[in-house]
Amino acid sequence: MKRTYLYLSIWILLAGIFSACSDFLDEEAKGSQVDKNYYKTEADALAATDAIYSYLISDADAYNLWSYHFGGLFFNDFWELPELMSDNAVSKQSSPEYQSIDKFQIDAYSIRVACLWRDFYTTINVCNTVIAKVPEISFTDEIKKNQLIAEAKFFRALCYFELTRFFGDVPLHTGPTESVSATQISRTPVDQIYPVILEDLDFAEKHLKYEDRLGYGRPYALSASALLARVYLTLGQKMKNNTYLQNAVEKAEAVIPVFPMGSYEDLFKLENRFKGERIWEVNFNASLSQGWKGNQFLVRLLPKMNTEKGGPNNAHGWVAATDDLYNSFEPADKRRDITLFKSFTYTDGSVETFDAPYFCKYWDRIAEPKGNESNATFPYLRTAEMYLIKAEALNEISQNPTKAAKDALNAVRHRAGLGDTPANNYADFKKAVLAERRKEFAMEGHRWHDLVRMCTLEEIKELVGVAKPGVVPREANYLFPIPNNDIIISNGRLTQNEGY
Amino acid sequence: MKHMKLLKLCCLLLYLCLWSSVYAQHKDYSGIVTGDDGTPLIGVSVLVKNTTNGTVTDIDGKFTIHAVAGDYLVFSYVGYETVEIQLTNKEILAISMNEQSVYLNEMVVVGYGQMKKSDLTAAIASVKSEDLIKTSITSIDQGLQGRAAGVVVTNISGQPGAGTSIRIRGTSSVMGTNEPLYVIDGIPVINGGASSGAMHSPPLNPMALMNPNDVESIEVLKDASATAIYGARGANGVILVTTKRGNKGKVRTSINAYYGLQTIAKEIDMLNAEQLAILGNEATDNANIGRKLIFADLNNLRKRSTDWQNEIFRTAPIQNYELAFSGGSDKSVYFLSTNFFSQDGIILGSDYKKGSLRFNLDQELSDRIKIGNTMNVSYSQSNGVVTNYESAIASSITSWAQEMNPRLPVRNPDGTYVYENNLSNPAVGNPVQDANTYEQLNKTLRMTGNIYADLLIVNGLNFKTSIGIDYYNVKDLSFAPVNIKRGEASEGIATVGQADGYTWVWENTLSYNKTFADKHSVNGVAAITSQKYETTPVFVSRAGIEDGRLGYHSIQEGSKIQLANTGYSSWQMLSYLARVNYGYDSRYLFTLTGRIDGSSKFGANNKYGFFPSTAFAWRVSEEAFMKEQRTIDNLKVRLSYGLVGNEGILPYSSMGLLQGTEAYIGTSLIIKGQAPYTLGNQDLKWETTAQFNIGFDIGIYKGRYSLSADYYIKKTKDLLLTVPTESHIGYDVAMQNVGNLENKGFDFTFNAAPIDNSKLKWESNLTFGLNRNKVTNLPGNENGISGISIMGINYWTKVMEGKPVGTIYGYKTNGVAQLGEDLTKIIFFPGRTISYGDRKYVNKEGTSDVLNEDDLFELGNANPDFTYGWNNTFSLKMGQNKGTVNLNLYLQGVQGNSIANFNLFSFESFDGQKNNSTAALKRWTPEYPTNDYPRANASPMSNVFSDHQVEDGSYLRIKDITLSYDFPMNLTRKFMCNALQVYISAKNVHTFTKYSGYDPEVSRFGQNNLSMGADYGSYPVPKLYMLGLKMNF
Repeated sequence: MKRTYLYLSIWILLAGIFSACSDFLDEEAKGSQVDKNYYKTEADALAATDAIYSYLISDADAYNLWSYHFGGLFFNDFWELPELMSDNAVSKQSSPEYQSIDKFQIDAYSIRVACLWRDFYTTINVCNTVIAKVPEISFTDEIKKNQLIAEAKFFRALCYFELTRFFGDVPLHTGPTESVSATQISRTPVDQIYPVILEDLDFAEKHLKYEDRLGYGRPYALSASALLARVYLTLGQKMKNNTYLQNAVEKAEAVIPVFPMGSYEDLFKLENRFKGERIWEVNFNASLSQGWKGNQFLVRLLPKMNTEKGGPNNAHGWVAATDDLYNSFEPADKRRDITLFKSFTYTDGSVETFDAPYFCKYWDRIAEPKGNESNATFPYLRTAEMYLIKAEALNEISQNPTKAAKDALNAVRHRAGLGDTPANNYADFKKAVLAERRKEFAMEGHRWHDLVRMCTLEEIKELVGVAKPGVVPREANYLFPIPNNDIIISNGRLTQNEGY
Repeated sequence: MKHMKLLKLCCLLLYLCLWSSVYAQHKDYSGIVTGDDGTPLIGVSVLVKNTTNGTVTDIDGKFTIHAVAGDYLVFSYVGYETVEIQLTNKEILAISMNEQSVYLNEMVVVGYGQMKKSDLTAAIASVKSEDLIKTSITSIDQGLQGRAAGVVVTNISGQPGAGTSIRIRGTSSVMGTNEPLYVIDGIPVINGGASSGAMHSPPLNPMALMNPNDVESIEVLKDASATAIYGARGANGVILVTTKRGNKGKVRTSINAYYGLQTIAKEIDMLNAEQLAILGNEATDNANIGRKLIFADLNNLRKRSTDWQNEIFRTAPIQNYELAFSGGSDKSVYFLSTNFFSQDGIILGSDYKKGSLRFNLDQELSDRIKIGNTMNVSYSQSNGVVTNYESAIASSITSWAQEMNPRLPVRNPDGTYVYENNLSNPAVGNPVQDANTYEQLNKTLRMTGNIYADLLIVNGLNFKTSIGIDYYNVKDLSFAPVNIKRGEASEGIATVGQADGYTWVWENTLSYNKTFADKHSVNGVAAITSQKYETTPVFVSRAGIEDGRLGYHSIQEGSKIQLANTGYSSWQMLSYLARVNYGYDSRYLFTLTGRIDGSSKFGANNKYGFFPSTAFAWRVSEEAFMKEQRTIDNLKVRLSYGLVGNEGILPYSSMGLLQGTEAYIGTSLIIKGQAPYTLGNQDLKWETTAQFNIGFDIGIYKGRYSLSADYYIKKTKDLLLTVPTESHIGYDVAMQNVGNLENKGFDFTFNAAPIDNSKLKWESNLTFGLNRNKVTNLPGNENGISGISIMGINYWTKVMEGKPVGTIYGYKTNGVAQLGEDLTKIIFFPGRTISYGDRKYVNKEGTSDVLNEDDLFELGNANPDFTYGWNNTFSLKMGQNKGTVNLNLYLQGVQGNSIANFNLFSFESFDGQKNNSTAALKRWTPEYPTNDYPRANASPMSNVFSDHQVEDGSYLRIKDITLSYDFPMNLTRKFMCNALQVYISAKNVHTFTKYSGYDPEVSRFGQNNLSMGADYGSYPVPKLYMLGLKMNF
């Protein structure tokens, strides 16, 4: 019996040992950081802010080329959708996703729209994390701390601005997502979103001044000003508010002297990245990347050519320009041959003529003759737009093209090798600015937004009808549809835009 | 003097006494041992009890042994009841042994113990070793196919070493695992691909590293009463594998060897060069594009065609050799085996070789303490080809072979390989070159074992402690040189991945066994177990390797770093369990079990779960009223109910994890960041399945006919789902416990021995299982949860409320647009125009006037209606000393499942940009206005998934035909052995099916539930013919 007690007590002891090891079941994620334990030091704050730049070009699954979560905001279709859904470009792919955008027949099931929506919001969540967590961290240099928060606010404002332009009312999140239930909100009316955008950009204007973190893909304080110019113009036009339009002019004037325009030719060369006219650009890099982080400009825009005879690699020609766009350039316009090409001469002298004009604007043939993954940056904000914003706003305020307005427009025209604008009244001048923007910013993601801002439905139908016969834009197309998936999951809390 | 004489006499007497007592003590006892029919039994172990003095009976059943009157002789023989006799002076013995009433006294392994089959209250299927090895080609789980009712086993791929996917009583989980828990000799082993992620083929199967001949039996625990003892991992059923242990007496040696050849069961009929050219020209004409130059000269094209499938498939050998020793004494028994296995794949460039060694020992240290171990070490090496892997262009080697232009030869006149296909851009590469040049090597070392100590505390009470370890080390190396198509984009790429992982289990069990007053039998078990798993994978890949001679052995030659990652994953479990079995008079049996599981994977609020179960069985045949009749000798009714859990999700799912990011500033600065990656959920817990089971077992005519049938209902709640969220929250998905699903079904096993006389024996076994699955609640997901996207199509399968998991959705075809129809009236996809000869699709009532995802119909279900297996064994005794001929025929089938055949998009592209199957000959032309196939078109629209791609996957397969001959005793003696068998065997001989692909038994996504039933670029399962022999000494 003694032995029995001995054995039993051993067993009870074992039971005791195990129950004492209550932390035996604790999880330790040695391979990943965990949000509960992070955001404590300055280094954490820097890492959290630097993560934003990654989301501009890639998404959560950045190493899996075929994943739905591979590309980020500017890698995907952000700059392409407003060009396809306009009189500028056509889709050369047979897939209905792009065809439906090209023909203004987009619907809520579109995967491209779902990706766009998602790309904005994942970036916003990263920004919100910085804005919420960084203030609690103690820094030795307050300027540096505010710089980080300012960067996050700049990008949050950018995302919400673009979201409202594309979709109208959208859910507004000003804090990071902590749980599913806490974030089941409805679409916030744009009037409540604009103040947030403006406030964020004001903060950014004031606090983007930490020397080591300016430029080269990071925003300057004047980048915030430039974006404010664009925002004020859009709001001013939409609400017919002259104060906003005046603000747009002021912001544009603040930026112009600091970022002088150079030649159009040089603008898109690789060696001129981060200089001159570029106020803020999205930085891609194919050679440094782990995985694929070059941009897709050349893969999408260049037509398929003979690679053995000197043509670029991996060019698919998914998007081409309309003949109308090509013809809209006057012969003297230097921009035409920099933006578009209709044929290519191989190394052996033979010439290939394409079935349509294609965009070669982003192809620096000397630096990247083989095309494919490119290191070129995407110029989101540049000085030419500041001039044209000024021109448009002044025309709108005075309902008449003032001298300042004409000078602004002419500055851009002169740079392109053209003479002064002949337009002399409000309506003609407005059309002239619209036309100038088209030629200046072809394939930079502006066209559809310009049409929406500056034209009536009839005017859009006419313009598109000339470039794409048979395609008829609808009233509904002033906004993109909210992705169907989100609407279904929200069980009706999220409403759809009219017409979809 | 007188004393001297007396002394001498005394000494003499003493001496005589001693001598005679010595002599009297050790006598030669001899005798003959026979079975109850009088035939001599050979190899019966004869042992003097409590000594090592023993012998075995010879071929006449005779034995001789030196022993003393009063000793006990123990006669033991497999399949017979042990006989013990006490020796008297009688020196000649005649011993008769009775066959064990196998049926009733058969021992069945249950979790944490063993029970007599007659005492079971739970639904457990038992598969014996002899049946298992018949169809376990590479691994033991293949051997289960069709052998256990309600257990559906699907080979994921025919690649040597690939795994299976097993479902016991249906699919009970959507995102958690659906594979059962494998417990090998008491150790819950690591399942799921033990992989480093570097290979582009299905991960290799850890079960393959066991030698099928080492297995004594496999028990499949099906209902809650049996599986509740495994608590949070019992929801999908449990497979208990018990390996052979030694036996007392003389060493038994066995040798098994076989050699076989495998071939492809079926090839797809593809077009020849001329037919493809005609198709290509028609396609470009219909699309108003200029014709391809390569299709111009039809006369020339007529001359020769390459059969690309034939080029990559080959007849491949398979062989297996093993040696096993089993023996022991009264105090210790051991089992030692070694095995070498080699299988070449039927696709060029693929093979699998494995060696293993096993040592199992049981040693009695005293009459109270016993210790022992189990240990298996295996090492395998496998060369693979790319299959079941998709990227933007076809990547599987079978897809490449199907796409290649038959006009192209494998090699150019100068001997170099033709580089790539010439029909489209981008083009697939030469599959023969790929198979021979692309390297993909997997090396796996696995060690599984345990040591235990068992203490007998008092009579009936045992304490056992055991530590088990399962360790693996997998290394995957791959290299695609720059001069082959697969290496083109990356300019030569090498990857090296390694993952080592281990799990240790420490179990302390107290068990109690006693019968009171001959009527009340009590059996109890209580245990505490803890388990930990840890793995640290490493993955490196580099591209830009110009000089390919060193391959992955010198990965630093690569100029571009693609990836250099390490990782870490671990989980822990702590559990308390108890079970009580109470039997009254062997007629009324009750079981009660309970287990508390704590798992590290769940949120801080929910770490522990409790899983109870209860069962009752009534042995009707033991009732007095039943004893009067003679027909039914076994009748038992069983009832059980219990809760089991499923915790099969990845670790860290309850935590909000961050992920490293990378971006660029300026031209040369890399900035690293940390961004939110997953949304944490502190309430995350396991899924709970409540299972109710009712069944009966009946045996008649002394067990010659028996039937075991069960009906069950399983309800799963708190399904672990990565629920799609509104993406504006910054996440697409969040892991939550939402949702319910249900499985209902019945299964039965029927065993019969219709003929059983001295000449001919016929045994037949039939298993049948039927299961119906339904998702009963999926809150927040009215639109369903989509499966994995294939070829850009993500709507083909969804998990939806009210429907089974594995439902397939797509458009419904509605014929082809014929000449004379009004094209403007045909509803079509937005942005597309329909022409004559294009397929039409049904626009659902009440939806918009364009075709979109509102027009998807339910097209089928990847789950079968029922599955079955039917085994027949015939044994014919050829006469005295002429041996026995046996014939085994095994059929297995699956009925009523649908397969989403994505290969058809490639076979029936009709665009002249890849080769097509002969279905292209039936395409629409104005002269041949069919409604089944569309026209040729060089710029077709993107793929539309419809009922045309959904096929009936039902099949009946002749899985095994084996003819064997057992040599008679007089001949075996010439080979110095006890038993000798030679056999020829054909496996997967023929498949009756309507499925048009290579093999209806495929699963593109392996064990993934969200995407069941897809076939795309899979490696077909081969046919096999083999010759083998078995020898026992």
